[in-house]
Amino acid sequence: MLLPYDYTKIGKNSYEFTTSRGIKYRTVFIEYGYLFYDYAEIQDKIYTFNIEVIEDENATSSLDERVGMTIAYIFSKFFENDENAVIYICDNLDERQWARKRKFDYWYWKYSNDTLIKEDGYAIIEGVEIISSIILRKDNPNFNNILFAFAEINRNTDNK
Amino acid sequence: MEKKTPFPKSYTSKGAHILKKMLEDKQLVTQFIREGKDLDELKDRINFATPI
Repeated sequence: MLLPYDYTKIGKNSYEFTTSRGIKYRTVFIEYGYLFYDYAEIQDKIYTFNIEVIEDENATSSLDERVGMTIAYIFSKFFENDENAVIYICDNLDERQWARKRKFDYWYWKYSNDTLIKEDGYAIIEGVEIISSIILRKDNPNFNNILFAFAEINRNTDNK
Repeated sequence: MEKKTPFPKSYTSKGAHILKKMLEDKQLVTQFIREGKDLDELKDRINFATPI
């Protein structure tokens, strides 16, 4: 039976895990409640999530299912606080944002449960495509406010 | 410590400001990690959190 990889906390800013093939991943949460000052009820509970490969001895892409399981496990710990919400932004520097979205959607589809909900966002800002998703618990006490805020920040952009 | 960013006049909406800030921070974090730099160097600019 496959299990998630063990992860360790690195300083005050991230977590790290290493796969059985020696690929090191760093995961980072960034808190953005301060940007949502128009939505007082949800401040301090809005985060983004990053995952980066920091060391890949084999220099090949990995289809290791345990990576997704590990991310899911990290999220399960994150959502132990029912007030937390996480936004995943698909990086677009290398124009692979849609591939990242597909991977993130796959992980969500495969490992989420009925306690969570995911909403997708899409915006074009100064000609730049920004693809995002927000995940939160269905019993989040600020459920409606959070989804409203997320929809609003995606709606109120240049091209809309 | 709050790191409130003044609303920039160049953006046409708060939504654009929020999303662009998130994307720029993400890209900066990616760059630092790939270059082996210490993320602590960004702590005055980015609110890192360890919520688990």
